[in-house]
Amino acid sequence: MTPAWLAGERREALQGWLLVLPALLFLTAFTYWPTLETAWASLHTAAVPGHPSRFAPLFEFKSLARDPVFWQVLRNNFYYALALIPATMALALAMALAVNGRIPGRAVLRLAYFTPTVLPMIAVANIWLFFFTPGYGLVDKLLAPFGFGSWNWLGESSTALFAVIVIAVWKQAGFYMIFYLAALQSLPVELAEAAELEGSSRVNYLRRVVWPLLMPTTLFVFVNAVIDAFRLVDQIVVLTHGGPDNATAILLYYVYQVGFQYFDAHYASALTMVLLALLGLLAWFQFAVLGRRVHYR
Amino acid sequence: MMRRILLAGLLVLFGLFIVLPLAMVAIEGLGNRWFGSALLPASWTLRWFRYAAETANLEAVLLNTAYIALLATFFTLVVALPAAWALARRHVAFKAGLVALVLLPRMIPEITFALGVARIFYNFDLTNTYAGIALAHVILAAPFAVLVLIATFEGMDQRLLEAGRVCGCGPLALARRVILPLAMPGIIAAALFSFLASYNDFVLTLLVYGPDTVTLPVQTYLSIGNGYMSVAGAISVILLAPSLLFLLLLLRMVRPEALLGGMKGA
Repeated sequence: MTPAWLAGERREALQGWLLVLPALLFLTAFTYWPTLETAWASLHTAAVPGHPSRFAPLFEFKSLARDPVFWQVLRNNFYYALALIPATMALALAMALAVNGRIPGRAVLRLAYFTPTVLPMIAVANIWLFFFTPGYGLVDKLLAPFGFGSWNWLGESSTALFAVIVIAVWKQAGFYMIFYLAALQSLPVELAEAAELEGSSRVNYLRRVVWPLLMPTTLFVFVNAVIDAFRLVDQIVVLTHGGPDNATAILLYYVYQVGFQYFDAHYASALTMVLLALLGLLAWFQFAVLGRRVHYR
Repeated sequence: MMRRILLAGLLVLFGLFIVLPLAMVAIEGLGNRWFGSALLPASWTLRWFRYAAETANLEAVLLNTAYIALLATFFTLVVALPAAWALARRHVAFKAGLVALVLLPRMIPEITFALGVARIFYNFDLTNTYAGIALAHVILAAPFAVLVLIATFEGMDQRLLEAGRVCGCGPLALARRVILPLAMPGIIAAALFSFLASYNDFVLTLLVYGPDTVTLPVQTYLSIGNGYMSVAGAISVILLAPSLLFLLLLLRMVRPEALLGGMKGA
């Protein structure tokens, strides 16, 4: 017999909470709690023999501001995002438009576009290593007839960042294509017919009809692309270790380096807080500012 | 006419951009003495695969990877299914906040919580165990699985559930005969994505794996680090095969684009 205070709506609410609870507890224990610990650690100094850890909320952040590598890493990440986001999104849209039409070999093309998405990033990095190998790699082989000599794409600070960006574009474009493809397929056929009847050119149809209707998808993809621009570091871990001369170190990689190679947990925590603050700020901007301008169907 | 040729050329270029790297690594894995400016290797060999099997203990690594990915998929569904059901179809207080709480970890980079996770794992002796590594992968898979399953459950027709009830289904029969069949494509999609998330993960695994629980991505990394490039190539080919298989399954069974289309606003 259910007690009186547990009847009707209250009971349903309680059951609902109980169903969500396992997932919530799990995520709290493994993501939120460690993240809070990180935040707490960032406010303390590291313990060294003779000097126990003490509460000094600004200490790590001050040394961060003085760290030239931090500023370089921030700048790198800015370029990484600036190149990665538009390139992947444009490629994704182009690929979606390509496989959405009725062209021969569409199924194979679709499969080819999807493949990098499901490949482990580590395999992707390995694949591109063969590309960029100086002298032997395909990039050098292709450029050789045009009089270019052998070039260490991943080993020269002028091209290393560009090289890891190309890898990330290759890996991510197919994933975003899925979303664009979904949106394109949900567009009503009548719109294309109407545009054709009105004598509108294909370019005009794409620009005036398809593009505005894709806006919600574009926002969604954009949000994900921004997150990825701060998160994709596997290829950097494997191929360049952030080098040469920190040329390919982005924020998340620097956190990894400081935390797991230099074992300075407190400094890594402070770096992490900067990263989270940046991500939070971007998320807020996207939903509060951009989200309001996008018209949802 | 000019435009069509241009378009076709562009498509072919895109295709090459995607396919060529894959072909290259397959050739590297299968080729013998592929140096200099030769377009193709001088001869073909399975030597690197044998070598990979010997140096990298591939059989055990493959089994580890599959076992961990299956466990991770199972754990993910166990926590994600009830949560998604409640969030999609029940009146829960602070629902929007709860959804955000469950989905937010997708935005937090792994390294942020990796150290904390590693510490918990050391305390409970979970490192170098199948269950432990699978649990770590659930962290990555669960938010996405919940997202897919919420979309699935929300799209379910209430009238069908009521029809089931009217026809005398108890809660269990209703779940088994009506809800499960209706939600199957979504559940399969969530399961496949969870499997892939586990199968692909590298960073988090690197922090909690041990000698008995080396997975394929970790082994690839170790092989590259040891300088066995052709072995790494061979392993990458092996990594590719299940990925492609899953991709075909995914495309055939659930049409991911149709499924993900429902979550544009998420």
